[in-house]
Amino acid sequence: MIPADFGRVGLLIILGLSFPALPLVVSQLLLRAKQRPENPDPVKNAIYECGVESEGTAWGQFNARYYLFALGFVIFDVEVIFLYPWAVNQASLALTEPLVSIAKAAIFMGVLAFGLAYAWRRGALEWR
Amino acid sequence: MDNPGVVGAFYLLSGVTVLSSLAVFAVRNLLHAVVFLVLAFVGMAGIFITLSADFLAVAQILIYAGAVSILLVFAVMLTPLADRNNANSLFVLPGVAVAGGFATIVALVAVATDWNVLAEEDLGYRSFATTIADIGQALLGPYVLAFEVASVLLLAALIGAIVLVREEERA
Repeated sequence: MIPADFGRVGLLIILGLSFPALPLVVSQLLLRAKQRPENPDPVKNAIYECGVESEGTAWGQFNARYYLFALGFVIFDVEVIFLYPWAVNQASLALTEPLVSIAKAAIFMGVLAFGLAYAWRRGALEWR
Repeated sequence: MDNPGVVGAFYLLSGVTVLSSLAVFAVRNLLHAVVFLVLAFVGMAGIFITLSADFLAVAQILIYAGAVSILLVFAVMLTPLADRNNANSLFVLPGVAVAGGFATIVALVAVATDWNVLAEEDLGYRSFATTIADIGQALLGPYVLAFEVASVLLLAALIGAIVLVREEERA
């Protein structure tokens, strides 16, 4: 893969950004051109048309217990970094050394699975 | 990097990175600053791709845009609302001085270094290929022990985090 091949990724990002932006822009343009009616009322302006009304703002202080989950996420995020080159090579390794390459990753993931088991055992995954 | 699309993408992503880095400095709300920081990280990952360092780009997305920004968001959301102000920090002047000095050093090093640039005719057969396959082969071949030891390091970090949090709860 050469850098130019990533152009498709860039195209996807541009498409993804323009998809939500386009209706907003078109709506504003139609309003400026006086082609769109504007009659706001409380029900229309509600965040949800149905469901539970939200209370307060989203800016409240988080519970400190969430931090352990963030730390756990970081650990397994770094694990993915190490497994990614392994996974890219798996197509060729599966032909030359099928069991050995899987065993190498299994040992790697096994050590971290031990950590997950320890976290589970210590009740770190529970909400207390 | 002769492809005009790649060159254009490099400058576009550089612009996004620089502008969002400035926005981190300029916005008043700390959480908005974190969001702009994530945008700067993503822009940097894009720059790595245009420089043919695709593994570095993946690492940048996963570690910085993923893990580091999660930690920063949590750090902000765990602080009381009143302290979430990005303005009038005592560290503005020292921060500008340190960042300016560091940028100057990097620029001087970049100019002074003999980059050993390949000649045009050598670039022909050294077509840019993905770096991930080579990194994977090295990681699972000669450096497989380091690969496995890395999992032990991550295990130590995980257990350390659990022990620290549990100690605090008991106290």
